[in-house]
Amino acid sequence: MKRKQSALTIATVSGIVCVAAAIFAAIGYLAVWLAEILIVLAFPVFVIALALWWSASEGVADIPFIGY
Amino acid sequence: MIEYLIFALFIGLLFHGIHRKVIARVQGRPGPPIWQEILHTLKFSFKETWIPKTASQTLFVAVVLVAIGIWSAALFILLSGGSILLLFGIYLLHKIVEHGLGLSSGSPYGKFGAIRSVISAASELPLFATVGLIYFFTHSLMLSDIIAYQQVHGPLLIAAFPAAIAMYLVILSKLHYSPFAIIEAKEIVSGNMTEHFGIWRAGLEVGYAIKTYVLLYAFVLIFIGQLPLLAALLLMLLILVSLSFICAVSPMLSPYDTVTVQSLVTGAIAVYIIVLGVILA
Repeated sequence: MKRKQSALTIATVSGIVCVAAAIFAAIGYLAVWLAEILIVLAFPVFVIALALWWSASEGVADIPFIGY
Repeated sequence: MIEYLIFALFIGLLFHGIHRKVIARVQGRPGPPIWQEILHTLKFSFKETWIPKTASQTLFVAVVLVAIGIWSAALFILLSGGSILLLFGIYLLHKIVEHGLGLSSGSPYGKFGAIRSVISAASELPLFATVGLIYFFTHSLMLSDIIAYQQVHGPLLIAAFPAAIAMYLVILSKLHYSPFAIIEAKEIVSGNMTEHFGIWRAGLEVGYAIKTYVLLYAFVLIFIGQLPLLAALLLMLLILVSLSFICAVSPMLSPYDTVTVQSLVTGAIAVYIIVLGVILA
């Protein structure tokens, strides 16, 4: 559960960095090259953290089937 | 910016699906729906995931992040009209990703894939020849200059046709099911990607989709010039379909044959450059 929470936090932060960099570059508050570097660094982290978040289990795992 | 990256990702995945569909139709099979690779990537991202005990944990994860990062950077280089030498550099970094994927897992199949990746270093040679021949004509390696040159002199596809063939070969070498795709051949399971399953494979699919988009778009920009987005996409699709035909009718070459073919093409272009630049100049 703790890992799921940290994956969500990382995904949110990196996602915000990507979107904020694009917006600030579009309105001229950030140099385009700097925004591109931020996105290049944050986007891979966002993809992996997002996948880690939604693939992580919600709670205690089931007892595995061990045969009759 | 980020919106274009996500657009490129989905178009790249769609292109992978179309690639599979065309191969299947040529081979007389129905094939999967064209959006199959988008579903595949989502499916992988929902799967339970872990890192194999034999793997180098840092490298195992880092190569996936690097794969996505470098091709995102390559897309921005294209969009900003940057240097094709940087694109060449990213292509070389992709080679490190290929090595890293295979070597990080500790799996013998992965290691075989990584070793084949070393053997197939010849796939970089045609790109090198392309860069050389483009410079010969345009006297610049900046994409913006190359596009401006084509607006005045017409598409480089005609003037530098051998370079276009070399780059076409480069794109073919990096496609799934290509006659040159020896690093992920089925006799070594999935080659260097064998142990990267679940979200790691989803991450790789994301990186590779952006890679396919970037390479096809680079081909259009370098050899045809700047086009409206829809026309560029259509042209990219046509190039992809022609590549899919080749993949559908060509068996996978042996590792040493791939090196021979790629080296021969590079050698032919080197001779062409020498004839143009030294003998005819």
